[in-house]
Order: sequence, then C-alpha cells, then structure tokens
Amino acid sequence: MSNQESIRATSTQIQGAGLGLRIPHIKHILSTEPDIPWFELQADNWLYAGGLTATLRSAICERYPVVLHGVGLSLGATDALDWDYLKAIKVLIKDTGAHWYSEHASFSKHQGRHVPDLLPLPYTEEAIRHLSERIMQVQDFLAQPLLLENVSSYIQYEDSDMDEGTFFSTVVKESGCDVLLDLNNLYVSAYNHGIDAEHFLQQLPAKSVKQIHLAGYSQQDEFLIDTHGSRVSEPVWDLYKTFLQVYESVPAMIEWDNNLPGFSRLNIERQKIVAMQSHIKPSVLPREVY
Amino acid sequence: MALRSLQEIQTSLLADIFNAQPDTLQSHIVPIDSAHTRLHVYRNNIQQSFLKTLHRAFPICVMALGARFDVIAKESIALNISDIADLNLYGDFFAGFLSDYRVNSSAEARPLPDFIADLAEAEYALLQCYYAEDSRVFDFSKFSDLSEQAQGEIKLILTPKMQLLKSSWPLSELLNDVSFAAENDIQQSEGGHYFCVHRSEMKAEVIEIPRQSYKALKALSHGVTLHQFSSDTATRESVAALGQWISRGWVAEMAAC
Repeated sequence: MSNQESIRATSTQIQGAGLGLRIPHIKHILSTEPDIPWFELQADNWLYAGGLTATLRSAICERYPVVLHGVGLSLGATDALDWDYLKAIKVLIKDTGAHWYSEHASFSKHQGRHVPDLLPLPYTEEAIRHLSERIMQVQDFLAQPLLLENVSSYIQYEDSDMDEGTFFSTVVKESGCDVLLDLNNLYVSAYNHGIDAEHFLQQLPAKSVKQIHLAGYSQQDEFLIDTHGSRVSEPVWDLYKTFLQVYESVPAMIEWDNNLPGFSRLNIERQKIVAMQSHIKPSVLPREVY
Repeated sequence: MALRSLQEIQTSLLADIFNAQPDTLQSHIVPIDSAHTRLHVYRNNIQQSFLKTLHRAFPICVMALGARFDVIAKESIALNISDIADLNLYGDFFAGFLSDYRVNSSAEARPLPDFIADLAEAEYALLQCYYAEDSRVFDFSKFSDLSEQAQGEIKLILTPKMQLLKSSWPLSELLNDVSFAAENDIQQSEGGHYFCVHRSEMKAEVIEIPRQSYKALKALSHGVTLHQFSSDTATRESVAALGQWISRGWVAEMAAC
C-alpha cells in the first residue's frame, strides 16, 4: 500500500460532525471529554510550540482524532514555497497524528510580505498550472494528499478567463489533491459576485470532497463578509442540504472564531450537522441533478 | 487588455490594498465601480487581524494607553507588514515604534507614559518566552564525568525560554498592576532595574534580578567558557549562583568549545 493509500485508509476515523478546536474551550474539553468524534486544529496556532501550548496539544491529541487546517502556506503565491514552514507542518502532522492537512486556494505572501488574509487568485491557465504544481510539491514533501479549500472573495479580476468552479475543479484534477469544501465561503463569494453557488458544486469531482466547513457570515453594506462570528447562516445550511441530497455524507464541522460562544452552545450547533447527516440521504445521483 | 502574469496580478493587488488611492487602482478589479469598496474589505480584514494580534501581545500596554492604543497601533501596522506567517510573533517592532512615537509626538499631544516602550519590550519578551520551544534539562552527570580541565572549556547555553532585560523602570510591578505607576508616581531609577523573563513550566513571568546576575547571565549568553566566567572579575562572584540557575532551568545545556 502506498503512503497516500495508507493515509486514506486511516482517515476513516474522521467521520460525522466535528468541531474546530478553539483555545478558550480546551480547559472545558479536557475536563469533561465531550463526545465529539474529531477536532480540526488550526495548524498555525500550534507550530513551534513549547510549554503550555505543547502540553495542551498533546492532551487533546491523546483523546481525540484530529485533522490540521493551515492558513500560512500561501499556496498560490509566486514567492517561493516556505520550506521551513512546511517542515514545521510535517513535524506537526507527525506529533499530532493528524489524519490530513488542508490549505487554501489563495495567496497571502508576496515579495516577502505576509498579510493575515486569504487573497484570491485570478482564474487563469497560468494560475491553474502554478497552483497545481505547488500542491504536487507539497504532497510529495508531506507524502500524503492535501485537502484544498475554496476561499471567500470580495473581488474578481478582469484577467480571469473562466469561473471559479472550472478553475478549482481543474486544479483538483491536475494536482490529484482532495477538497475541503467550505460552503460558507462558497455562498459568500457567490453572493458577492452575483453567481450561482450550486454551479460550483456541479463542477466539483464529487469523490474528492473529504471535509466540509460550515460557518456564519455577516452583512456589510452590499457585501457578505466571511466573519465566522455567528451561527451558521441559513443559506449555508440550505447549501449543505443540497450537498447531502446529492452526495454521500463526508465529515463536516463548524468554524466559529469571533464572538466565540461557550462550548455547549457550539456543540448545539454541531448537533444540527448530526441531525442533517442522519436524515438527509442522497436521493438522486449526481449526474441526474448536475 | 494585455495578458498579465500571475506575478503582475499579485503585485498590483497588494499595491492597491496598501496604497488606497481610488483613482489609481492597478489590479483590474471588476466591476470597476465597486472596486474600491471591495478592496476596502481586505484592507479592513488585514488591519483588524494585525490589531487583534497586537491586543493579544500587549495587554498591559492596552490598559496603560486606553483608547490611544488602537490609534497608535494602527499607525504602526501601516508601517510594519509581517514578513513571517506566524502571527503569534507579530509585534517585534512595537516597542521601538512606541519609543519613536513618544519622542516625535507634538507638544500639544498628551504625552505617553515614559515607561511605555520598556513595558512593551517586556510584554514582547514574555510572548517570545511563552512560545519558545521546550529546551533540554541540563545533564549534571554528563558535566561531572568531564575532567576539571574539560569543565573549564565548556560553554553553558541558556534556555530559549529566557530573555534578559534592563530598564529604568520597575517593570515587574508595572506588569502586575499598571495602575501602580499612577498611584506611586514612579521615577526612573538611575542605577536601573534588571530582569530575567522566563517561562517556568506553563507560565512566562518577569523576575527582577541583581545587576551582577544580569551581567553574568549576559556573559554566558555571549558564549564565555566556564574558565573565563570564573576568572573574570565581572562574573566570578556569580559562580555560586550557577547551580541555582541550572535548577531553575535557565541553563539548558553545555557545549564544548
């Protein structure tokens, strides 16, 4: 069995409805050990860590299966890949026993400057080639498939010569990566650009979707902003229902970062995923719908 | 429109985000009539993210400066875009920025507390110690196995979980209670205060240490051998303290010359 097949086989431990682990909740989680099937760790918060951070990380990983989610790799940048960062990610994957690692189809670093945001790429042939090659380099280095996440966006470039769905699905096919489908990002971008979110879903290679993010957005003037600061927004739940009506369920989770509620409140939100995963089954084959 | 490379597109977007002139946008964003408003979402996201990071890194400075903290922090952010992905360590410039800001403020502006830059430096040192990697525990038996001559030739390596600071201000009191400054009308100390910022187990803390210990620990950090350390008049009286520093975890390991 190859490394990549081995990783895919062990990933069956990640199923059902999980949660994004947030530091203010850790004490509660370790003292009560709630029945959560898995947690997603924000990789960048747990890198280079000693002392309390390392101790808490170990305590969580001894009790729960985890996956890693990064924001610092800047996959789509034209600056060179940061191999020191990737080495640290590789160590973190080993130390945490993470079942997979995900990153974004975006760039954050340019000409040595790093911004704390996920900037969109133009949808061009050059960007497809560039992003696919970088993903393959990362996958080779980590010896496991990467999950690529679609980002929310507020701008579109005149340079783009295809839609986001075509761009994203082509990158997935060319690089052989898997997909972390963020339905909140998808809805926010679709709203901001006046396009159809379901059209993006139609273009995705269905079997490549391994994880789903759900979150809340906020409205600012005429735009939706990906704030992760509230309950999952209703149109995002609707999009999730649409996904479940067509595809087999994959691990899904709530991302909540700002205005973070207590753990119990967050877990109630997670229960909605559990209910939907139990009650909504694919009723039509993807090709009949799309 | 002429085809632009991916690199050119990324350069123009960053230029538009950081140089917010609505009439000179380079990034070819469509629709053009809302391009400036759309770019503003990114400007705001980036600024708020850095600001939140500075709040987390400098909580005592936030208490000391009140609402002025955000005004000053935003000015500093505009000049200091990070060159690393790890936001946990963003803010290395902030003490220096506060120092310059205090000096360059107009005469009409309410002055910043004199101690603010040193306080920020101490908070950043705490942050670095908190996130520093765990170091090894000093191996006494390995040291004892060495001959007396070999012992004299080794260098003691300080833990990355520790930093040394000096200041004219009683920083440990200020970090514990910033209102201490207002209530006690603190004055600059001519002799200065000396500190060891250190993470012991789970918590980073600032400990005031004697000037002699500061100089001796500095000497170790500069790589003097044990023989030099015990011969030099500036450090030899601290030989007796070495055992205590090792047991506190300040000395992590030894290295042969």
